[in-house]
Amino acid sequence: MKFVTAPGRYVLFLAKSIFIPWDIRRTWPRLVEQLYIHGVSAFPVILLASVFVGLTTAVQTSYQLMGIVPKYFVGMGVSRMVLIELAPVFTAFLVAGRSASSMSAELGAMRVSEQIDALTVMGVNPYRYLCLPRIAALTLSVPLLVVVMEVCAIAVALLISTLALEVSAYTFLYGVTHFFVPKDFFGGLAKAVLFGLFIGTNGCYFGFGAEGGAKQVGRATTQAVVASAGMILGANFLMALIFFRS
Amino acid sequence: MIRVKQVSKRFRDRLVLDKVNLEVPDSKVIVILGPSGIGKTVMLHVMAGLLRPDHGSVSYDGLPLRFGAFADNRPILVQLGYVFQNGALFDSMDVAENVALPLKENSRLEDSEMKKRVKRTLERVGMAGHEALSPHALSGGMIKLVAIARALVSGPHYVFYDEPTSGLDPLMRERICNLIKSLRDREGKTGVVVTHDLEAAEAVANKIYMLKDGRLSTMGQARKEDYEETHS
Repeated sequence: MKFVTAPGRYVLFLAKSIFIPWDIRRTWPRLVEQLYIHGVSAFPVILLASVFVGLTTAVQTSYQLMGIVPKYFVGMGVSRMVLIELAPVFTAFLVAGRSASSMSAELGAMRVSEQIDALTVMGVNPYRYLCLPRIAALTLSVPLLVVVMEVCAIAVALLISTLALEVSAYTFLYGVTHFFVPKDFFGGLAKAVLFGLFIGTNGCYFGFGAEGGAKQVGRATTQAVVASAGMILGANFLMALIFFRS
Repeated sequence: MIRVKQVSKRFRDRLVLDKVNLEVPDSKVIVILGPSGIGKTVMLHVMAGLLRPDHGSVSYDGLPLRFGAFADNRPILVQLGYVFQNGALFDSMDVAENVALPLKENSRLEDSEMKKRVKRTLERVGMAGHEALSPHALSGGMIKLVAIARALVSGPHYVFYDEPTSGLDPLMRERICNLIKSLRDREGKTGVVVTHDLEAAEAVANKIYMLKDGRLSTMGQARKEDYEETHS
């Protein structure tokens, strides 16, 4: 029964968090704070991951294509793989592990210590005060982090290709630019927006639903990350069907 | 006046509130007494709109509380201060920010005016000079006082206290009881206190109710002695 009603409760939660008067004057400072926590502070881990995404993708693309097709296909392979798939999905997984867990733990602790109830009886809408800035921050910051990963990963791939894979910078960049399709970039961004929305909503939804004590807060944290991962993979497939079906 | 009419609330097999009726007259303090786990906090949560009753209604001066996904009870809630059992202070904020929060979110006061009000309210509860402290640095009694200050800062007409004296030393208990009484006597605030502490109940109440088996009943001398015997 719970399994059947869960999607309805999830959608209702999202509606309660978004379809409310936004009260920009009061929400703005909290949105900026959340953008910093979940966006700016995620930069180092995203940059680190991008380096390895770029290195690995270049080495493997070169391994699979060398000697079969011209060398500029390495640039094409790397860039399209990064834009369409790797950057959006990797970034979303990293952000889910980092932000969905911290959000659900924070809100779960607030729930069990009655801080959310305290907001309600003060006449402050807890969905506007707590969820809206978090969901909006994740929806905005995941696409920006994806762009950072795309740029960094392709730059690192260019570097390793030039230094170790016998593909010149000109050849690599020819492959990147000649086969560039705007749909790849914007399709990847559209995915990122959706992933950010899911991560933010899951972090808040499971945190708000925590009841009891520390054990339930821990459980909510796990659920937020697992649900985010599942929804990212599911949405990734659906978006592939929408944007990248030949 | 707060009017609770035929309110019932069940959790799984357990009927916690069974067609409860209660009237709280203006400028009086009523106390709901009962042992731990009997449903006193549930009663207070229903009265504050935090829990939806299975049956019945709650109204404030004739204005009914609404329960629903998009229910907006702000006109009632801005008249209500609620002191939670553990204080429910925000640990990401210091004392002054905690107390200022209702003003910040519900009013358009200038920062300077807000600061003045916060200072005045903290002075009133005897917590002046503690503005910059984090809730972690406060004792249990101080947390309760700051929670009372936060409940009072926007000038509510009704104040709910959930176990205001539990876990406190006798001096702090007396201080909080005196504060509840002075809020009623000097400022005419209507109070609802839930507690298991008979001594504190007697110190602050105009009327004491006993919650037992989901039912509320007024407490006479005989029942008082019985309660004292059972819970001493």
